[in-house]
Amino acid sequence: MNRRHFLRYGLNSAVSMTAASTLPMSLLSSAKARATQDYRAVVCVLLAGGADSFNILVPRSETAYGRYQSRRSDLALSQQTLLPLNGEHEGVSFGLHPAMSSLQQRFNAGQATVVTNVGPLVEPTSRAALETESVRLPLGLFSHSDQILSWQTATPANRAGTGFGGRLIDALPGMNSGLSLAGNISLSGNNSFQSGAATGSYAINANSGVKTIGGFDNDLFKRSFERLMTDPAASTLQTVYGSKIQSAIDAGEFFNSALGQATPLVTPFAGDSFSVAMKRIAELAGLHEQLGVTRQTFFVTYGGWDHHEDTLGQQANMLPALDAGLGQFQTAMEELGLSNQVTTFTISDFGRTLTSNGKGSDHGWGGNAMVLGGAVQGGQLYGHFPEQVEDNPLDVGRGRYLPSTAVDAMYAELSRWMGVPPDALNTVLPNWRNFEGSAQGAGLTGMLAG
Amino acid sequence: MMIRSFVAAVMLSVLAACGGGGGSSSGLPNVPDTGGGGAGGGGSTLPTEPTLEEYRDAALILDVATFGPRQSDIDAVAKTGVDDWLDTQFEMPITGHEPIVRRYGAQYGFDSQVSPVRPALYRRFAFFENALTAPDQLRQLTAYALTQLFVVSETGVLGNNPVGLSNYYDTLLAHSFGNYRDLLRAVTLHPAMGFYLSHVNNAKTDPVANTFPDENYAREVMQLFTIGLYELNPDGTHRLSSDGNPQPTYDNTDIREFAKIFTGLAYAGSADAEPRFGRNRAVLYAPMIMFDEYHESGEKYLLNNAVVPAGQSGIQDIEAAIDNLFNHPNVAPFVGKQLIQRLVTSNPSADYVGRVSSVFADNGTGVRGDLKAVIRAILTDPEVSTSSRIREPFRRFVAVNRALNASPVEGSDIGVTGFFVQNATGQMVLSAPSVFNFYSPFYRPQGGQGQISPEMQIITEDSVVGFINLMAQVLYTDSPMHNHSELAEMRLDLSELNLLVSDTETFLLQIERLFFAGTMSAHTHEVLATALDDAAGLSAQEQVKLVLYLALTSPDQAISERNVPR
Repeated sequence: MNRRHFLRYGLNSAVSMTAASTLPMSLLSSAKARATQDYRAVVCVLLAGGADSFNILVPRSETAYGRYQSRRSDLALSQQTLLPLNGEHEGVSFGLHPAMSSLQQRFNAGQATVVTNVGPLVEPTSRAALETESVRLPLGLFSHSDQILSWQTATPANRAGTGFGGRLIDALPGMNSGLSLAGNISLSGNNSFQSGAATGSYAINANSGVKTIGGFDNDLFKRSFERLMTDPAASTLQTVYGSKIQSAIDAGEFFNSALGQATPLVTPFAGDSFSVAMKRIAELAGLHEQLGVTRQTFFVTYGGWDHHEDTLGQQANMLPALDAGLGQFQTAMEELGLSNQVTTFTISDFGRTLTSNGKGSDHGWGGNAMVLGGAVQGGQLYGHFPEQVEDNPLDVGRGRYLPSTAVDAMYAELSRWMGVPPDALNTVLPNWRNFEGSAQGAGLTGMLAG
Repeated sequence: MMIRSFVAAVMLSVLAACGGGGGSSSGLPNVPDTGGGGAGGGGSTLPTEPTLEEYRDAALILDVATFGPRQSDIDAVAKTGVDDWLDTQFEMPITGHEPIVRRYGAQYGFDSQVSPVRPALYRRFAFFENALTAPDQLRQLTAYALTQLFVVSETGVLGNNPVGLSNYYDTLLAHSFGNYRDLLRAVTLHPAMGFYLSHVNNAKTDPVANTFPDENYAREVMQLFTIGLYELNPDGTHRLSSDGNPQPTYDNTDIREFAKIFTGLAYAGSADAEPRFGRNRAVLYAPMIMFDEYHESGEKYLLNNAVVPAGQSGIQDIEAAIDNLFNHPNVAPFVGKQLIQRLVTSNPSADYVGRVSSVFADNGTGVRGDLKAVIRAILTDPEVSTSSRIREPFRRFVAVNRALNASPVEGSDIGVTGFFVQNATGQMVLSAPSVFNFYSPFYRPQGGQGQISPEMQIITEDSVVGFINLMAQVLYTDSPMHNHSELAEMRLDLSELNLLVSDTETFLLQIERLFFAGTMSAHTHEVLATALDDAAGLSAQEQVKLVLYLALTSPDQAISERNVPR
């Protein structure tokens, strides 16, 4: 590799751009040995647009369902169609949206759960503190573009530029050899979740896989093109752009050689784009040894959940693909023997108003997050589920719920499970210290085993 | 080097090449025709030729203000100057999109079961036809910029309604050089927006059914179309509170008040049916109409302590709310800065934003919101010459086709040029993933030293390679770029460049003007020149393709910015 080009375009730090071909074989094989014993990954599924998750998890007990039905009016699912979940939570039995049969099955088998009324907070927040403005609040409450960042970054009071996934991998140094970009793989392009201070992320197209530059067959083009990348007078934006090309070239070869060793999955996946992405993630997780990673994040967006109208119809259209994709993925993890080593969770901009606008629901705050995997101590819900009555003190208007659990609590449990040492937790979750020992930070410890 | 006479020689040879007729089959195409050859102006009139710098200025303004420079346009603007070009562009008649969609409809029909081409594609054909050939380029590009501010997207019923989407595009075109208030009103009442942000069929509070007005449009019209989340100074910086914090422009109570304003609107329906709220046919080419009985009738509170009295008609309420937003001090810097970012540069100085914002506030004759004056202020600002912006891959593709005079191999449907490039470029007109567009105006890429670069948000390892391979396909492949056998293939016209390539400097000067806003870096120039040397054994056409492939995929070309002239 040309040294000057290395300096110019290795700006995501030189460490992140160790080309596969330059790795000593001994390093690769030692990484491989460790990976076999100790691989862990989280899969972040972003339901972009703000999924109406109070129609994904619904109370079934008579009184609680009655309240739900009364608050939701034309958006209420009928009680008989709910898929029952085993057990009770806070004295109430629950059910899932009729499309969520895989989640129901996994929940009842103890391999999945739902974290209830979880959302971004800066510090413990009560309705009274909210009304007197005596508490720091997330930027841009109820706004898509802000809350989607708050969820991805877990730094809702500022836009620090790094995300939870990126900082998570940053905090586990020495776990990954090979190409450090492989620590964060996105099936949905650039995202804030995987933005780290030390580690970058790598975007793969779920449909077409890893692309390589066709013109590189032509040696004169390749040689000249590589020289175009070494402009000593390149501007900042040109350098940013060029570094993306350089990672594409380096990582492209690396991933293609790894993917070439993949054994096709037996588990069938559907053909919709979410399932195709989940299948690609399953394949990549299965290649962790070849990729030299022992700690990994994956990111995928399934968008289109901003259901201001036709909530019931649109959820009935879209939830089956979500449920199938999550379920197929879990089956694939079992096939690969990685069931206990990969945990999948959903995030979304926000939950939505419980009350209807006559056609759909509007932007809210707290929502319900699904968590799946062999490590999940499932079969029970986590977090406080708000009573769906008009005068609930958590209701900040039209059934927008102040979160009863902070995003940080959910991420702290994921961090612990991934092996972040307790003293490093505050670098992964800068606001975690605000929540330790508070009700909005409690209740999720032990959700993941091991 | 004797630059001026050298430039003149280039121009002469190009003119000769354009002139058709005998052409140059001598094998020495770029030897200047010293005899004058009917190309006007012999040696003695050299001083009237534009200077090298005037050519650079022309290339730059055409790069930022059109869908891409063509040689003939560069020549013309170099002669007349930027101001004259702007004057001319502002007065040009509008080239609409809907008539083109209807022309395809007349040809192939609108029934997807029957038509040989998916009717949803007609409005993409209309876009490419106009981007490539419409004379009113500045208006076409301004409207395109507005599609990224007032986003509607090809989803749901809109995906199958090319007439509705093209009508929406034409609404943006109609107001591109008009007043921002009229634009905001037209967008608010357009049924495509009504569908996309769900304020069509939005009913007033119903205490019995326990339903409330839809908050969607109320929120996004403030967050995205007019004032944004935080109070701004006229130069676009945050107006901070006494304790140093940004101050929100509105809260959720304001959203609920504005939601009441936008109740009662429904599709216009058809003349032969009884109008009924919520039941009218989804006509997407006529403004929505108001059903006052479904409009929230009580008093409503707007921003800055304005009150809408109870009992007004729905349209009166909407007018009042539009006035309230339009006159908010944020609109000028909020909209002005985003238009600067779309057209010119990603990180305008506060002074630049301030200059544009003051023109928005008052065009000099006391008119607020005069977009013609705003666009002129944006494009004639001194900061244009130091601009830096990642080119949208989608626009790079369009520009290549413009510069190299793409045409269909058979027939005349130039609109088929790019309907299929969504995967390779990460974009398609009116197809953003959400009302938040393809990228955020606040996006700061990793490694960018804090700079904002909205377009970088869609630049990934996958997409950079996708674009490089698209360029190879455009330049080299003989196989169809799309899988619609009923549609023609496009071919680029490399004949002019083929004539120039044997003179490296002349040829690269041409490449520089067409694709590098007038200035490529010394390094890029050196690499391309060396590649040309190394390719000496290839035919002229293959040499041209090689250099184009390198030039069009270089990091230098990916950024619209002025390099230090060599």
